[in-house]
Amino acid sequence: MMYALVDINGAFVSMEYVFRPGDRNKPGIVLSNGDGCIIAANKIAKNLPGFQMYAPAFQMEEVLKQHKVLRFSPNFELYVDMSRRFISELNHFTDRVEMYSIDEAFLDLDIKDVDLTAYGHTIRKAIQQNLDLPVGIGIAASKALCKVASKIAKKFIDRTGGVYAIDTEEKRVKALKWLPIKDVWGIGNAHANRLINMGIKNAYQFTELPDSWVLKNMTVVGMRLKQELQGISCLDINQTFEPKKEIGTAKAFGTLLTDYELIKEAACNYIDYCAGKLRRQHSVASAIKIHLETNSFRTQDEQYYNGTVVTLPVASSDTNFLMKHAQQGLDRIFKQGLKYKRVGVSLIGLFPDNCVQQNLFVNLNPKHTDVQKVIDKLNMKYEQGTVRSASCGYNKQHWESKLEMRSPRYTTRLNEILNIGSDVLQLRHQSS
Amino acid sequence: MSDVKKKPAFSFFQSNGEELIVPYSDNGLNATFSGLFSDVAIEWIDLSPLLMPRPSSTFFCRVNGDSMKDERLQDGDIVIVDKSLPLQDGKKVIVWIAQENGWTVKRLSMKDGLIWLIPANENLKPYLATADDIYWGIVTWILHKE
Repeated sequence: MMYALVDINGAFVSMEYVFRPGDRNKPGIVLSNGDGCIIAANKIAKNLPGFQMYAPAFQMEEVLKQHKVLRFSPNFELYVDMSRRFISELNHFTDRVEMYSIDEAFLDLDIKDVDLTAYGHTIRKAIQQNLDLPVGIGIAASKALCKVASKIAKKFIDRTGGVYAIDTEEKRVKALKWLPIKDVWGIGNAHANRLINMGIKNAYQFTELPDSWVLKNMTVVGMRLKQELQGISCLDINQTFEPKKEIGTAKAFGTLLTDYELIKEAACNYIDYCAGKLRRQHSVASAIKIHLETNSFRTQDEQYYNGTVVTLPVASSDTNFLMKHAQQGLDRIFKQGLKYKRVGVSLIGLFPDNCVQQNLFVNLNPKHTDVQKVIDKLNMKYEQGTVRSASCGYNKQHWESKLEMRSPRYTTRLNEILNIGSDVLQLRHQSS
Repeated sequence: MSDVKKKPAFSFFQSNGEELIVPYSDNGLNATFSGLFSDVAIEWIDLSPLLMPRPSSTFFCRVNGDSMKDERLQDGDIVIVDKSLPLQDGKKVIVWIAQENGWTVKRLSMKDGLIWLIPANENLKPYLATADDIYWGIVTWILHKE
């Protein structure tokens, strides 16, 4: 069994550029609503000297200005739709597709007698042609090795053309010897530092550690990772090592529900659960996806499936705040009189929650935590972000005036579709 | 009547001392009004499969201007674009014109290895595409409101 990891390079910016092809070779970033942190960037932007992901844009004003970096407000409705199209395109190749996050998917390549690298290039070309999205593809016998292969595919794009398969033992060993231990999927900072202190510098050395040591010090999770890196697949489709870039849940109701209040309650419970997870991984979310569906097996019932995306005015992990906005989304898609089977919510556009506070409180005295507690309390009382957005407010005008408007929702709103000025060539012709 | 459960297909029950006959249904369906018509699919015509056989690569665009007016493409029309289709001689295509930094829709004409964009308006001349221009997609439908 072989797997492939397909991920969109610089996803959000690339999705913006589908509708601005003239900017394809320019650096671009997406800033969070409210506090203007960089939540997405393309490779050209990431490679700029002094560029720092998740930092507030105003801190890098000079770099951004000097290199004419294009700035976008988040357009999650567009990103979610393009992501859906991305998954559909992959479904043309196999129905065993696991959407790992908004811009990554694992495929189950259950095919024989096919040159997998060539097959990868076919997939890559299709996504490029049909969606104008650049992707990298890593192919290997396990998910963890796919991650490694994908890193190689992107890092050495001139040689790989964006596709790399670890399909021989020789390639596997070479790849693992190349990969620093801290870059291994699922190895956190603490484990990485400990391993480095022991002289374990790369992924290959890690796989040479005795099972007993790994089990004892890194539990069964570490053991699975070791096996995966040895090419033994332990994770099926839908299992992973790391916190996802998207946190969601969608469970079927015990019985079919028609009552709005009950469905809202379910949605709020899911939000509560997801927000807890979000806070545990110290992240905040920029938007909420919510969908509602009837039971498609009950053909006697009227069928309905609808979903929407609510972009938050400020990124947050506050349960009440998220619930309030999830409810707005639910109101948009709820239709009276139907028998619903499932409601699903998903928090997207996740990024670390410390990017603003960090620069505000850095070098502050040990009372720092007290200050944060007060802020947390205030946020609990009012809304998450009340205090935060004010905290960087005095710097806001520096970047806000230059922030480009959110791009049109080209693919989901009829009144915002791409405008083709068929006369762009007219003047030229008449004058020539 | 709604109390009548599945089977028997033909049944009687007491109601105010009267005997009621429930409509017969051969397959033992619940003999309510909707049950009677359950095998009749009440559908409407959905144009989506016709207009976008391949939804994941299909996009909508609005056309401004009258440079294509003589080939049924008017100002304000909506065009459907399927990006999965390759460049094809004679088709209307959406192209990003690098030098103008803007979009255009024209008929494609390939001659001697050169790519021409042909307008459909007597006032305009064909444009010779450059290597910097970006082909975006092929027009599959024109939606024109009368």
